[in-house]
Amino acid sequence: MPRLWPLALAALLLPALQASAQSSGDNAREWLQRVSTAANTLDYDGIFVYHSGDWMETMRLIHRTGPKGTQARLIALSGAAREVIRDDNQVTCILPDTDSVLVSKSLHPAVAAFSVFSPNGDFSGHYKLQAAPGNRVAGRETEMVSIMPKDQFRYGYRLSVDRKSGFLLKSELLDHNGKVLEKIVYTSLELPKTIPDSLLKPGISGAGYSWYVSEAPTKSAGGSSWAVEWVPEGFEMADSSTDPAGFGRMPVEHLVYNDGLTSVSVFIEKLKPGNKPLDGLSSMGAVNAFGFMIDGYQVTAVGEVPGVTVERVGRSVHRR
Amino acid sequence: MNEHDLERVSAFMDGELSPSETRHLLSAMKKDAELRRFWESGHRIAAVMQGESMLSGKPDLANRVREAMTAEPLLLAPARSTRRRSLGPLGGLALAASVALLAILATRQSLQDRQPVTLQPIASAPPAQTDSATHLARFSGAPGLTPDHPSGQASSAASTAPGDASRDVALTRMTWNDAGPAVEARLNAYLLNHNEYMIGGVHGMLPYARIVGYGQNN
Repeated sequence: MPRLWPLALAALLLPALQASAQSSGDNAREWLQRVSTAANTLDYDGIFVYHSGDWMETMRLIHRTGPKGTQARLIALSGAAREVIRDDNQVTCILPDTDSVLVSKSLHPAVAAFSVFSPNGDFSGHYKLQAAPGNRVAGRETEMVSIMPKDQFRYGYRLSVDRKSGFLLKSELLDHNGKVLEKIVYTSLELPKTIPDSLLKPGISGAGYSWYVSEAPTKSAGGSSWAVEWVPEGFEMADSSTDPAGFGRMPVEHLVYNDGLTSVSVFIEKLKPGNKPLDGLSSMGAVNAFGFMIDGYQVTAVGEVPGVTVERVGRSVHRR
Repeated sequence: MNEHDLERVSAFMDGELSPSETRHLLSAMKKDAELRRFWESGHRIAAVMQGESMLSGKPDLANRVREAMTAEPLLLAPARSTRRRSLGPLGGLALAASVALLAILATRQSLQDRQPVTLQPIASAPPAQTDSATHLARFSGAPGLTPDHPSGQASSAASTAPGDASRDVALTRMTWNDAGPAVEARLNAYLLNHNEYMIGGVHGMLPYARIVGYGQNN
């Protein structure tokens, strides 16, 4: 019965393989924890390339934590010398190409860092986690952590993590065919002992620029008269609010669903007569949107998820 | 330029060069225009190999790299743009998306802070209202984002050659496909609000990367 040997072998090996997959998953979780810690505690000065489809930009990110809180400065290295500088209290965007400066108070300090990896709750039911040794990135040995969706309703992620520091050196957003939609790759990274204040100061004074300041819109939560019948398994409602009117628009009802890694928003807005609705799918980079009309209302589902997801979520919306 | 250069360029694209190798490559590119063009084509090759869509309509990518490389320290020193220009209506439209995305930062605070924010100048010079500001506000489509001084003084921005405006129209940017300008403005506004909930995920930095990179002028 030599033909049965492979089967018997497989039967013997299967538990071992399962155990190995299990430990790879646990290992991946540990790496993700390290990434999260590193992103919030490391001081670094790095250069990365951001790719999205045929779009590509090179940027430099300087990040420091310390008694003055978390400070970061992001600078465009190609094109106009745009900068975003933020600390725990304030975000400043400097745009030399439009001679303007935008100032806004920072969000909650917990998300003050630029490079945050903070998965929200347990998402392992809907993604398969794996860790394996990866290639060198920016001259550093990496561990590759893949987070692949178990269904076609979400995107996957492939992360290359610096083995020494836990720094996220490369991160790719993948569709279900494994095609890269967006990626960030560090081409160089320095982890200096100290980062001088001068590196965190803007390179441009902003003198003579137009300054803009955000006026916080008031958000009022209320019972919705709309129902979303379907979201992919694992997505839960994270928020519901009425976003203020703006730019000649009516107030917009906004429902948010989150699966721990990504979000889908549903917007419902009474369209003024003559306003052109979105009818069908549209996309920008990895962001997809699907819109249609019900009773004079524009319903739009938007998210960093595949088109099929926003379409199904959008179509399931109806009036209570 | 030789075969070794090709390897180094593609290794750079994938982040596989050590810091010293990166420095060497960049200084080589600084001197070698042919190598810079090669860098651009190298990027196309990389894009195709990874199944990403072909680069198109970005002929001066190589020059942008050169700009980045000629600056200091560590590749760059943001140069203060002294040239001022007005933005025609079309220029304003072309900027709408980039300003809308910039406002991601500005609008996200609404979750925590319902108080109007007062301007905290980080520079000693008083803010100046310009024509471009008016256009930005008019076309931004970004709720909650208004010019600091709506009735501020006029500036030299008004007097500008028309050529500048037409250049602005040519700003390359990511756009919503299959959507006209009106729909696009609405989608940008939606994206702003949606992005409040995106930051903190795997791509925690991506919204910021989009901001800095968005609508960059070639």
